[in-house]
Amino acid sequence: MTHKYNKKLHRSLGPAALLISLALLPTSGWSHGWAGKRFFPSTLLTEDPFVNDEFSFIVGHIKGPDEDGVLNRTTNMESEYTKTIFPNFGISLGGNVNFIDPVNGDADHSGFSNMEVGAKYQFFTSARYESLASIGLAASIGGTGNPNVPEGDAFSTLAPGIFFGQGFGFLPKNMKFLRPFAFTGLVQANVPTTRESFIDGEFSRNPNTLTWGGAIEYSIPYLQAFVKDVGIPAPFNRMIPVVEALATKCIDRACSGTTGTINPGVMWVGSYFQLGLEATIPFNDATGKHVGVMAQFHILIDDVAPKSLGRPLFGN
Amino acid sequence: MKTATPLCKIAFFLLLQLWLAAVQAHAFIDHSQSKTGAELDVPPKAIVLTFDKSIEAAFSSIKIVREESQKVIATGAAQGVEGESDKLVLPLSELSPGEYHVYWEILARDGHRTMGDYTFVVR
Repeated sequence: MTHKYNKKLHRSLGPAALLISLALLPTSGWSHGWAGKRFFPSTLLTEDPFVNDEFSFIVGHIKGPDEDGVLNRTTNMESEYTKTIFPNFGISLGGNVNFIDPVNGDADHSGFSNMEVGAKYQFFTSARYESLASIGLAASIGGTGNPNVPEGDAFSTLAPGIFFGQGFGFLPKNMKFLRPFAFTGLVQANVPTTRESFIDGEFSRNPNTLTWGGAIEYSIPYLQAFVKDVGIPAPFNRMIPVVEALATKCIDRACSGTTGTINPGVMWVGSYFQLGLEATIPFNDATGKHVGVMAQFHILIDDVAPKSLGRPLFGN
Repeated sequence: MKTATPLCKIAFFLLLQLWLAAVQAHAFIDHSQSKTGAELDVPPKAIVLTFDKSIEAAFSSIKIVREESQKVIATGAAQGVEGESDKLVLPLSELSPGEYHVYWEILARDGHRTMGDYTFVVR
């Protein structure tokens, strides 16, 4: 047993050492969320393609069906803290609480969803081409939440994913007013750790799902600083209109169909924090028939506390 | 409510850091005297960039290139302005008519670097 354990530990040292070395590769000193002169804001609905020290608080409200088709008014409050360990590697801790008000008059109920932890590695940044990309693994820890609310399952779910961002500063001069556009995207698998669960006296299967989505944003700060100063005054000169979309599809275990939303809105980026506001529009009946709303308060910790909490634990 | 207490503690700690932290951040360009994309009848005597935060002028730079020839216009080094730590200035000799590309790279007081560029035309 000891021999097997040592072998396992020994085998894991190599990849761990490689990961640490990659994470410690010297960076140019650029902070995260930036690729050259392009700043990628933290979007509300879709995961960011970068690693940063940040704290995010999002509240949303929507009327829509739950997994059993029961129509509810749901208010969800979500918070997440991300900390860089190495310059390009960070971990996150998040949780959310749901307040559910059934439309049919049944009793309200509320509770926390499962706690979420994650790790992300930003493996690519190009200042010249305004590009960045990360890979990550998130985990929803089963049993840490209330089983009567969404994502409060007894089982855990692992979600490996890839995230990327691309600015359009490379466009030619005759398309210069399109340069403030940027696109971010993600593809993520959601893999339950158990194939089926025993709930309310019967077995139900836990499907694997695939999530994909992205955001298209137009940066007013980028327009005025790098394309043409058209004289847009504060506070509008710090706004970034955005349209996000996120979809999830069941891929096995007698589950099919896709649900998702399209979220048009706007973000305002200050020096130390960011605000966001989006409409949540279901894109099919399975998702719902009513428009909801999401709002964000996001702290840029690397700007607020650059010499302490806002810097990586190891490395520059 | 299992996750409430740890999250509350994290939130309190973060808020404390906010209150205690020296408030400097990434510096982003606020405006340039020769405005981005402008067409000027009179050539500017200097490139004057104003940022939204204090910068370290000694570790910041401005370069100006004539677009047509891609030739760097010879100038001195960019300088800060006494009493105005958010400004960076590059004095210029007279620019002939044409399009110019300004490249800047600055170090904010918090150690974050930002960069950018813009063009303007002298008619």
